[in-house]
Amino acid sequence: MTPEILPQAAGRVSPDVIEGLVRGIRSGDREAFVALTRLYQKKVFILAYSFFRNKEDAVDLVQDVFLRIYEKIDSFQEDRNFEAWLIQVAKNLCIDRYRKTRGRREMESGVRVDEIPLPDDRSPDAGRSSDLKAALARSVDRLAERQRTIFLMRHVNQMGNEEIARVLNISTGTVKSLHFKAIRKLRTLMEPHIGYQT
Amino acid sequence: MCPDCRKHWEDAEKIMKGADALKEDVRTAMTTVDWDALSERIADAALARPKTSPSRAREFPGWPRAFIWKPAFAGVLGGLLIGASVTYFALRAPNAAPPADSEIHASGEFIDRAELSVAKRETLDYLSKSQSLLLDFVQASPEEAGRLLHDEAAAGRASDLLAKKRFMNSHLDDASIAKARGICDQIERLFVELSQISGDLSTAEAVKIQKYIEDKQLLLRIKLLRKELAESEV
Repeated sequence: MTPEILPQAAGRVSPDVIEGLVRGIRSGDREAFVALTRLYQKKVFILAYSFFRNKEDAVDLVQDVFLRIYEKIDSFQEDRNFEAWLIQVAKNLCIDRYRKTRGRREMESGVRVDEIPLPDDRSPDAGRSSDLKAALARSVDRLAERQRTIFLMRHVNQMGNEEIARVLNISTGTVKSLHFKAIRKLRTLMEPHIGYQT
Repeated sequence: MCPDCRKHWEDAEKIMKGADALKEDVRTAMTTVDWDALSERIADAALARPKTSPSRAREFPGWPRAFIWKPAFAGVLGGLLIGASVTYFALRAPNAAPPADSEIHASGEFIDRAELSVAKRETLDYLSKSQSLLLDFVQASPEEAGRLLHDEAAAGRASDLLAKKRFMNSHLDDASIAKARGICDQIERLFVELSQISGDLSTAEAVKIQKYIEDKQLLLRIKLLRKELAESEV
């Protein structure tokens, strides 16, 4: 197991370096694009994986995001924060794809995600942490879109309120409010499971 | 704290603990991706595609995009804005009181406190496991300590702790547990050093590391910090 899990380094890259890479990509420098991808691909993967909980979908999404970035690099305004722009693109693509895959899952199973029951909370194994994880994952699927995005950004991507606010283009207060609502809704959805555990 | 609030708090903590479990899944998945190959593949795919041409908005940076791209849409938008403004001024109460503080602010603090509580427990768990591993190292003879590095179970414990520390870093920024950061960082550095040693550790090197742990009073400081964190949790 490698300790190199979270792409902490990307957060420390100076704006000048990013600016240089962006200029390089605009002028067709392949290595600049590879370097930029390496800096941020793990961060995008974490966001995508938290949405889909599936490695293949997450990797596909990482590819889609960087292809979109490459296509749109000329329209990137240099006074903007590159990372915020990138995560915004990633978030939008995650939501688009999530809607499609959610629809596909519902069509295949014949039931809406909202109607899929949580694991049997009173089964003999209900107290196991893997059950809590499965129940939480299913409950997160039932959250409203913005609540789900904020919950995942905060708890899986480890983004702060200010960073989330910047990416979603909303106020920090709204982030806190939506996060609170997400927790409250999750609590309601998971009440039988949590109640059994105590 | 009333029983209902306590229950609410405990439930929120469990939900956030569950989110930590989701992070574990991400971590596992990340170890199976060939990142270098992925970035090369993306670059190949990107260069095979045409880039979109710069938008006209860049040619007219001061102009709203809707007016440049879609005049009809801009007209509709303008109408809506005027209509909304008229409605707002027509319906606005003359002495409308400022909105009272919503419960959300208090509840946000509540969640922050719950998060802090989870962070303290995570830190306690990290300190406890680190203490146990360091004790095994310090209490072993220098020869045994040298071999311990290559013991699969011990190496696994050390790398798990390194990974756990990565996830804890954002929590450790909180002022009320900032004191823990110094010692957690010191433990992390020691584990990083140990994990980078390849081959058997010589007796002299093992003694040197054991002495470092003793000189820095790492075990005592961990013990005191654990006590302090445990007490602040009550």
